[in-house]
Amino acid sequence: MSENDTTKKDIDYADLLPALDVKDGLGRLMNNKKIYFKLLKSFVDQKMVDGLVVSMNSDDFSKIAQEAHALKGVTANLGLKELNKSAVDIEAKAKSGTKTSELIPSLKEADKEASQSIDTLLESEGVT
Amino acid sequence: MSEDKTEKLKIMVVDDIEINRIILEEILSDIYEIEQAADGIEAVEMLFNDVDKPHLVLLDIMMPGMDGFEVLDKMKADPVLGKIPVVFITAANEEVKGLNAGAVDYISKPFEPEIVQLRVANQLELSLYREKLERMVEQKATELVATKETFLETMASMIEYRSLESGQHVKSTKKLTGILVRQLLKKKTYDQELIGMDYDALIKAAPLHDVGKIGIPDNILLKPGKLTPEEFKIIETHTVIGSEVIKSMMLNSEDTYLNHCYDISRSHHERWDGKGYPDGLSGENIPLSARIVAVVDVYDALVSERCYKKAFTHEEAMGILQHDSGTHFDPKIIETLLEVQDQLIKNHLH
Repeated sequence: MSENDTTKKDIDYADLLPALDVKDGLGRLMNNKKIYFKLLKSFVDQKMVDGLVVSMNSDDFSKIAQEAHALKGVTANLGLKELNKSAVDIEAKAKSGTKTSELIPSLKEADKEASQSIDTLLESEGVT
Repeated sequence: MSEDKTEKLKIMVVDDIEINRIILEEILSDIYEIEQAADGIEAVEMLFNDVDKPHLVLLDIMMPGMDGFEVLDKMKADPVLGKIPVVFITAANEEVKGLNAGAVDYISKPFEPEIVQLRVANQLELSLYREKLERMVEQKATELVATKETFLETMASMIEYRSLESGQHVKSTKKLTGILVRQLLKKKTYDQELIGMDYDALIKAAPLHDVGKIGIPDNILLKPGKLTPEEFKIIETHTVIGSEVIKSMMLNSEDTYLNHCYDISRSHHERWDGKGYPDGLSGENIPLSARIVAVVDVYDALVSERCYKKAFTHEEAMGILQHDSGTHFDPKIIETLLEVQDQLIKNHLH
């Protein structure tokens, strides 16, 4: 196949699945890579997942639902598929008034995968 | 679609998550000017305080503090903001609630750029079109009212021409009524009543007082000599005829202008002491509009040349009016008339 940069990057992007769907996220941003990468970095810096974990250890179901909902929206928009699934489950549980603490491990796992994928992507793109 | 070819239309994006706001801005900023608000309270503040309102608002529902529904409620309660189209950013199951609350459309996360752009464009087009239509209707309504008033005044002039008066009386009546009404307001006589009854409409209605003369035969209306008692009775019917003509024009009883025309045409020959016609009303039972026009009508008749009399001087006219204050005329109105004599004289010289 052709050895130009675009093809090389396409293969890289596919490697980041299922945690990070770059094509999906980029498409949403009108293929503006600069802003997409900036937002991914911003997401990592904001540590939304850490905040959610803290809430999940409490009994404040409405807070958990609200934060899970927010996480759900952001991850959907950025193409962070696994984290999104996690957020969906947590929101549903919290809304029905059920304890969510058992979902924490899978959430943390998904977060770890997402962060790794993001780091790999930003490194290969030369984004600091 | 838009009348601002040079200026971009403005869209406000409200979402508590910055990343979402940035994505929406990215999707829309090529075509529109974007402003952001991070929560409901900031959004409401910007909406109420900024001079340049956005042409459309993209509103997240789930936000801490004030949620999207509350923001929408506050907007709908305001006459200006209530017209701005709101597109909800919704999770599933909230569409019905959002549309019921007054949003015009919704988009869901994850955002699909083309859908966002299309929905925003469609809603803006609809909204601008509606605004344009509303402006046109308002303009036509105003024109219609003006046309109606001009028509009636023209009719009054035409009727006056029949009595071989110059059409001057119609113009004079309006001017003099205006002078008297403004002085009454200034001196706080009957001012509350005047303000409550749309005195502008009253002034415009004054010239219509003799509309009923259309029903009086020429041989009586134009008789140069003294009228017989029977002829007087017939002339007196111009009050009732006039009011009936006006009544037949009233499509609904809330037309203030026509209501004034009715009162004035019917009651401008009533007397303060109750000895007038057609209904023998007395004192403040006579509509205020009619009491005012009665004075104006007589004054103008006195100082003008008529087929049955010569013109009196201003001083002679004032003498007659004062003499009949409290019997023929409302004393407070005569008192007020005395205060504006220089304006009366000035008007008559034209």
